[in-house]
Amino acid sequence: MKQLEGSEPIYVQLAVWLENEILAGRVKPEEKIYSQYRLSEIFGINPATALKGLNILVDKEIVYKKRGLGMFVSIDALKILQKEHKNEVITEQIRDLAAEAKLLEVSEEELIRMLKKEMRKTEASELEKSAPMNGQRPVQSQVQNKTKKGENHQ
Amino acid sequence: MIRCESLTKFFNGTRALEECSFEISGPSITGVIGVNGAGKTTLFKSLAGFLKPSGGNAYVFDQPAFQNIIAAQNVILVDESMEFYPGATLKELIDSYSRFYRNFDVKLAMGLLKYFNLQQNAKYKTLSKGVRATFRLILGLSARAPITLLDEPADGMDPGVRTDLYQLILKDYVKAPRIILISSHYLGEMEPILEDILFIHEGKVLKHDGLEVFESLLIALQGPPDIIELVEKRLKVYEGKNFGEGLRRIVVDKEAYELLDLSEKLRSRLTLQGISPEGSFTHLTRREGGGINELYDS
Repeated sequence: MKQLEGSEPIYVQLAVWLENEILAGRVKPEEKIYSQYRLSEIFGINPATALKGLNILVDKEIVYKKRGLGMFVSIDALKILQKEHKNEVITEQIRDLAAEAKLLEVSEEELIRMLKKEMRKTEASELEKSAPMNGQRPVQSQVQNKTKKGENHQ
Repeated sequence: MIRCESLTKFFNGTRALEECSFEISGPSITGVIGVNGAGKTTLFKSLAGFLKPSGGNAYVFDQPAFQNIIAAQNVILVDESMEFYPGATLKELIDSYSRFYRNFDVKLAMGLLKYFNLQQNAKYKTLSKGVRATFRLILGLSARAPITLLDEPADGMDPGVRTDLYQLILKDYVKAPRIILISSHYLGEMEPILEDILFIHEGKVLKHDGLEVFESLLIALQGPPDIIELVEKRLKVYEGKNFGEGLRRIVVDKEAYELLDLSEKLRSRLTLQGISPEGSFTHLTRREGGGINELYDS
């Protein structure tokens, strides 16, 4: 029996688990998703709770019902999930950033200026990536080098 | 289906149930929760037709349950007070139950005896407390009665076995969906298998709703004391604690907080955390006024 994690309601935790299964490609668009009874078995939860979890995905149009056949992953599932995760991650980071700026007494104008500067830097490095022969090393590969070094240490 | 209409029961002038009303019309596993003396056992005994109501009534398939043959055939009550013929072996008890309950699954009962390492020729009275409870549950599930009432089925068992038993109840329910009511002091461990919760408090139904409703009943708010106090002035607070100078945490009703007239700006400075059904249940049943600390500080 698998264990769900977190302090969220069980059906919400289940919905998150299902979304991760789809994002990881373990269930692909147009494939049948786990039935409420299969989920009940996997997690040892009431089938009604499992259905509530699945219905969160139906409401978001990540999963759709085929009459008499069960539920299937929609063709746009990945697009919807990526968009949602993107919004969540960025909103969360901006919230932290705003709190930190306040703590350090950085004004709103100053913060926006800093943000714009960073955006331009990112754009520049994107350009470099597309033309890597041109001078500096792209940011991406520096990160990769770091991980490699770390691995050698172990 | 079962229904209670203003069900009231007094024992020698002491109230056990008072105006208790609810209805369950289709298959579900419902957790019956409440502190000791809330009326859970009286409710189960009334539904099983063992007790004559002092007022109102309990119905099983639209028949008043008390001493009614329809109720008796369709309801099984599993609790500590189940009485068995003293000299009977487990196999004999299974046989006698199978003659009374027409959906009784003898094969399942024998399979479960084997799974739990119970000897079919052992005598019930020689078993330990926990093993007796296991056997009663085996009888109760194998009876496959349309209305299965399990009063503290995991009482006296080891923690590992308890989880196993709840999973057994769930599996049997999926195989043969029916109305199952389970009471327990420990909501947490039976939570995964529940669909609904019937919350009994002081002889009344305080709330009867889906598990997910109980999962977002109360929330903890944490933040700067000045903002917390704004909330505190206007809502019922179930618990309040200070963490040093700049942080206060309170527990309030989630819906009431959402409806509260409070600016987004102030809201954004508070962190919210859900309270588990078990936690909410503890807060809601705590005695009014101060609690244990007040008693010692005064």
